[in-house]
Amino acid sequence: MRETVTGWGLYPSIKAIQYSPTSSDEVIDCIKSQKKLISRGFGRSYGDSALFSTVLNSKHRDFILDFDTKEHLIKVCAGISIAELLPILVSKGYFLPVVPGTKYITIGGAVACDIHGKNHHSEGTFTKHVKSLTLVDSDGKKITCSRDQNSQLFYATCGGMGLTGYIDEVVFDLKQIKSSKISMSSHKAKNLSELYDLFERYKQSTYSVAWIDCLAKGKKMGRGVFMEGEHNKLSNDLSYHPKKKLIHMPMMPTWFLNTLFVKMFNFFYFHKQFPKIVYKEIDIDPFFFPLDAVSRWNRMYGKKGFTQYQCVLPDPSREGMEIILKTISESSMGSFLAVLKRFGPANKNFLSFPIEGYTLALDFKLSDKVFALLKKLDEITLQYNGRVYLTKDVRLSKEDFEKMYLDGLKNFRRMRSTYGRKFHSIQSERLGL
Amino acid sequence: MEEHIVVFGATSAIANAYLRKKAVEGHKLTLVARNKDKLDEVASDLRSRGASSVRAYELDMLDTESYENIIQSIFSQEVNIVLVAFGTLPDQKRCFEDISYAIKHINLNALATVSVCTLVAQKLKNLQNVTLAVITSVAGDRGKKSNYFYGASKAFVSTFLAGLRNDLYDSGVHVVDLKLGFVDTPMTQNFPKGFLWTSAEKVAHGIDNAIRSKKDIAYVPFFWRWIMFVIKMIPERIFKRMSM
Ligand SMILES: Cc1cc2nc3c(=O)[nH]c(=O)nc-3n(C[C@H](O)[C@H](O)[C@H](O)COP(=O)(O)OP(=O)(O)OC[C@H]3O[C@@H](n4cnc5c(N)ncnc54)[C@H](O)[C@@H]3O)c2cc1C
Ligand SMILES: NC(=O)c1ccc[n+]([C@@H]2O[C@H](COP(=O)([O-])OP(=O)(O)OC[C@H]3O[C@@H](n4cnc5c(N)ncnc54)[C@H](OP(=O)(O)O)[C@@H]3O)[C@@H](O)[C@H]2O)c1
Repeated sequence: MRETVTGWGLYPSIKAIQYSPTSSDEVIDCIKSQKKLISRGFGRSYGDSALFSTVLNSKHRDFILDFDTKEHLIKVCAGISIAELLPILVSKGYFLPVVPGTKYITIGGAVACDIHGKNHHSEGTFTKHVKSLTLVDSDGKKITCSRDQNSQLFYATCGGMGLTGYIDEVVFDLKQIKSSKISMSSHKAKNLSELYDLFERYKQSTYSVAWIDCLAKGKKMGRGVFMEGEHNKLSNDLSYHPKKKLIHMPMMPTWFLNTLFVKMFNFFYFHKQFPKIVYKEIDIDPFFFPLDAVSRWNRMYGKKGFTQYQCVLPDPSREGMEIILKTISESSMGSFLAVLKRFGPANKNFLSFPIEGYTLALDFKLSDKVFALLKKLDEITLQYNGRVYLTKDVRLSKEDFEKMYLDGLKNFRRMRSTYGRKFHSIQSERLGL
Repeated sequence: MEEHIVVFGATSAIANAYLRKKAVEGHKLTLVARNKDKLDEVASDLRSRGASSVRAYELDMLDTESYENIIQSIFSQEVNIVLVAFGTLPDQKRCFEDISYAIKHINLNALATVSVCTLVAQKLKNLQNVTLAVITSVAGDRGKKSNYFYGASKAFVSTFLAGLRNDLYDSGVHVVDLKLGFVDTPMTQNFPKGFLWTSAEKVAHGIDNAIRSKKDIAYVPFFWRWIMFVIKMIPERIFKRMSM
């Protein structure tokens, strides 16, 4: 049966046949019987990386195979989500080593995109904590890889956008926590330079992130709210009762999110915090996954969809970041809050996104004008030796991509031609990956 | 209180969702299923989620000869709840054209189900405060052209359960017939889904409620009781012309 599938950005929307195997034998049979396909988790990547006419969906491969509380390790099938794991882990005093801004993603997606969290500067990407993984390649062969075993395949698969094979099992380290509460502080910053200072001042904090009002211009450009936090180390409260989602977003008309609306939102967001600094104890969900409170919020942008532009500029990045923000604010293309994060050093994976510097991410409702603006942003990013995050991308050109990921590309393509011949996404065909 | 829960067809998506719920609550679980690899994964998963102990038996439910030994072994310990969940949804058109295909599925959905229920009931009769829960389907409430081989097998089981409930009333065994509506699982992978569809997790919640509140016949989700009430009211002379 063909059904409509899209990424989180709702664009593009395609018809695909989905297979959802329940055992690893069924995964193998599925790959053997298909000519071209792509793996898919929860479809939280924004663009076209989990889209193809044949989709291998991991949703029924969601088992915990071993939860080792002595070695602080867990072995899971890649279709399990962070939302499913959290209650089990937290009640036993554990947390995932890295989480993104939503808990509705699979571990397979976390590995394939080599995701980062608010702790990249202190703890690296998700795959830094991955001990080993089992892949099913284009021939239907199961291969275990790690930093010591089939290491080239490991470095190609972590961050490899599902293009080396289907990730079936993942073993990763868990983080021990004493409490399910986060001790955090939030700080208002008048402009970009204050934000950068705050990141510097709090570089010892495990978690940090900043929200920027990207419509503010002139002296206020880059104004925002900086937040940092730690797992509370004193209390022994491991209770975790995530709220059931209360708010459902209906599909909004395309005109709904206009510049005026976004301006007002950003204004209120910035001014809702009155004092310059606030200290709080909060739960896991509001700290890590604030957007999950509204289910399917992606429909807010309307049927035509949206995209997220996320780039990273290596140190020193201030000048480039200012130019990017200026270009965005001058374009007045309504976007909600932008997110700024500090990245630590890059890892050895061939296509992983993070490099040491600062990363900016923000949403755009799609239109021809936006495509032109994003192309301009690509140029600035390239000029400052930066790159764009493939997980969010839906429109990058092959030439720009090759310049951005030059270092690892040759090694990646070598592994891909050996193991990943059958795996294709709309993105991989567009970028010639 | 820790309970010992036994599930036949433990690798089914619906049974699995129920088992996960029970594992988190820390109960003792015994699993019976035919595919060893899947069974091993489900067992490790339930252990990791907090089940106090998990035992697994490999059994193809069409192999009726092997029932007795396994049931004997399971009931060497006290049991509180037995859930029968295995089943197949055969292709209706093929059933009509290929009687040996149809018989195979009737053997599983109807005969194997009542056979295992019978052997289990013989054991439960001597125990206190026990439940036998069996998954059937709203498809058993009225035969219709899209799935009457499946529907008739489920109706066979429902009628059997009504008799068994009556028979065991004095021994205090609770027999619950779980009549499920449309659930999004591997069984229904190729069906277009609409607003009447539910997830295995929600159904598992309904199953748990029906068992705990000692229902006799539970429609899960509840609104199927009203849908089926209306469908059963339609006079046959009209129904036979309808396409459902
Ligand atoms: C609100 C929101 C906040 C986010 N915040 C962050 C963030 O802070 N940091 C960050 O890094 N990302 C972030 N993301 C992006 C998200 O973490 C990634 O897109 C993640 O990969 C999604 O996982 P998924 O299971 O939905 O994968 P999908 O979107 O289904 O797939 C993503 C890619 O992984 C591949 N893949 C998935 N499963 C497998 C498998 N089993 N085997 C092989 N390949 C596979 C797919 O082929 C595809 O290329 C955010 C997304 C949203 C919607
Ligand atoms: N899904 C629905 O819409 C729906 C609606 C009403 C009723 N039901 C009933 O709900 C029950 C569970 O189904 P489900 O939806 O969870 O589908 P499912 O995941 O496909 O489960 C069916 C299970 O039956 C097992 N099985 C099939 N043949 C077997 C055999 N010969 N011996 C042992 N086990 C066998 C399968 O084993 P393997 O795992 O080894 O394949 C599988 O685990 C079934 O009785 C079904 O009729 C389902």
